[in-house]
Amino acid sequence: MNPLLSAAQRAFDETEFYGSVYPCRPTRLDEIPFINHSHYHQAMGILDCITDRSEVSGALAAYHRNVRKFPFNIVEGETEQQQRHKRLIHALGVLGITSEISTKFLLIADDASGPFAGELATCLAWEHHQASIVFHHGSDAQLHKDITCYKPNYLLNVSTFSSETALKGLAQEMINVHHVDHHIPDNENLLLACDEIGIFACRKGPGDPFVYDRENLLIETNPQSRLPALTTQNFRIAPFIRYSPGHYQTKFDA
Amino acid sequence: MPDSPFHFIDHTKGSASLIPAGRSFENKLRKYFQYQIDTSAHYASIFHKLGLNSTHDPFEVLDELPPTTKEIYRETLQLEALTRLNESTFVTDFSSGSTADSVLRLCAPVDDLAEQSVTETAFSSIGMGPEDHFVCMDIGATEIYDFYFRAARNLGVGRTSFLHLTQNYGQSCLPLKPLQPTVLLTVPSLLIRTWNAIKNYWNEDYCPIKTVIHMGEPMDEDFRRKVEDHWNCKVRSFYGTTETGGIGMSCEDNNGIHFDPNVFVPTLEEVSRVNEGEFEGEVLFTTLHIRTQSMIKYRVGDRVRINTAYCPCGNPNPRLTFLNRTQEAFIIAGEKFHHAMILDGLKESAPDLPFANLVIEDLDPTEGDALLRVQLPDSYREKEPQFLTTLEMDIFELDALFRYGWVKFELEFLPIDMFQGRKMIKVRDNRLHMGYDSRENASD
Repeated sequence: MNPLLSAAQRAFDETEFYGSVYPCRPTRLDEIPFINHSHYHQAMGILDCITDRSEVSGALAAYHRNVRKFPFNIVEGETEQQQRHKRLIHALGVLGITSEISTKFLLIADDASGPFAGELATCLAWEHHQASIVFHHGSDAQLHKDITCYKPNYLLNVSTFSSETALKGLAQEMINVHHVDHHIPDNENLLLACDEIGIFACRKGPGDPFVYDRENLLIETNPQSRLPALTTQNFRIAPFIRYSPGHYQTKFDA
Repeated sequence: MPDSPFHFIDHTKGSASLIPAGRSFENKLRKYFQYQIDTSAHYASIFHKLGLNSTHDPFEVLDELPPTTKEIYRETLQLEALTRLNESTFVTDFSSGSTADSVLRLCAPVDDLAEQSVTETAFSSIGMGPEDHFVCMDIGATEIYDFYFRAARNLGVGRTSFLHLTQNYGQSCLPLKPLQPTVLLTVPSLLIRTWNAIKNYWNEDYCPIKTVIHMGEPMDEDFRRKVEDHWNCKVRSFYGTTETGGIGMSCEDNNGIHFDPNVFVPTLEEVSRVNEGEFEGEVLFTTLHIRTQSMIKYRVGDRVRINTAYCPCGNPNPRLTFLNRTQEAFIIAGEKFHHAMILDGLKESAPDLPFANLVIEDLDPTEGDALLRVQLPDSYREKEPQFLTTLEMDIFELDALFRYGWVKFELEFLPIDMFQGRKMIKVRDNRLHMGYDSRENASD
């Protein structure tokens, strides 16, 4: 069966939310509607959106810990955590960073993005990379000094406010984590993130399309809005089916 | 010397609780019980079953209520919390599982703030402020450190970073030297493993670190003194658990952890009086500051001593001294032993021995009852004969079991890098009748 249809049927069968948002159990792809966070007003809470509360093993931190447009917490089971991990590793692979050689990352975070940065650091540590975190809370000069102390191979910028000028003049290769709520800049080495599933795609050059892990995720374009819509086809407890996380048109590798 | 604002009340079943003096606390506890009845089906059913309610004397209620176990926390309170927070935002905290099976804690924003307030008080007690550079060093658990950094920022600390340790300790801790933190927070097991690499970054004449805070597990007393002497700094202990959050910080006099019984009410089981105002027993905590997954008489698994006497540091709050983890006790042929007995015995031959991990395994019945394998850092290999003599002859009751042939010993010397995990599991009982599943602990 088509993996999108199969995922939609499972979501319909196993969650209150998809059971109520779909008019009937989908049997064809054109019966699966495109949705976004506004549809979630129909859910009473996060428990309506998951299949089994006893399998919850954690909550996914939002990119900005005080801001999230999705109305509830995002919770995960072990499968969701593993898939989120694989998406990040796949994205780094696109940039030529593999787990075969341990490397040194330094994540640049701030008060708002600290929890999200922590999740990334954990994933990198699982792959035997060194992933320290420096918090940009003082002057740019202070930040540069700390970066010099850590001597990383890669800087992973997860800071919500560290501007390009603050990070200018650094010798290390820079990877930027970009949240889908903001206009996509013309930067190299861009990881695309959303609050619902974390980092899900990557682009090396500014003109390149974003690449994602097709074993893990389906990304389509909503024909009406032309916005990307993702489907976590291998979900265990927390499905997102034809869900648009952002409101910017984005080019993905077709 | 002022009277202590706290006193112990004796309960009926060999337990005692430490409470603040005055009627206002009585009312606070009464309201807390009513809150639990209103918000937790689990606790409501227990009150109902015992015929209790919030109009009863709250101290008698505290006496009557049974302890809350880790199993109840994991299998009942966790699911209740998820239901309660269905429409809310929350964060989660997963315990390391070093002391038992892992538990998941759900914290609503108010719970997070309540814990942050306790942490700020603890950090403030060591004088943390705007001039400090705060570095946390660990192999993981980044969410805890992000939380600590937020508490530090609320005290004006502007420079914070998390130094990630990998198994190559010597290389991964190198940034510590140029960073020159003034406050270093880490786990004792990791500090021991990195010590050889980092100790000579500085000496007693100059060391930027003025305070080392350790959390997650107790620190060996000799090692603590070694760190203080070598770096000319203070080592403080931040005590707490995933379920309760941070509880308190040791003071500069190192006479125990100061904590506030207005927030954490300790009940001591199998209590015994040490002296006037000082008692010891297994501690159960009632967490008045937590609203989601709050616990009445929660068994954290620690035996402690609590002292209400005046502390020279001037902090009026009582002090808690950690004695041992109940899970670090083990039984061989009907005799109970504690990890501390073994370590203390081995230290007779090697006073600076930082740790010893015990693995207990079944022996073939023709050979005896149990094999006690003692894992030690390989730098102590030359002491092997003395260690064996200690185990065979110098530890009370263990020597008798050895003579009777019930127990055999094996010493295993390992490179320090081979001791895995954030916190070392000091006692691992692999005997079949213990029902231990090594796979569960493999991921800790």
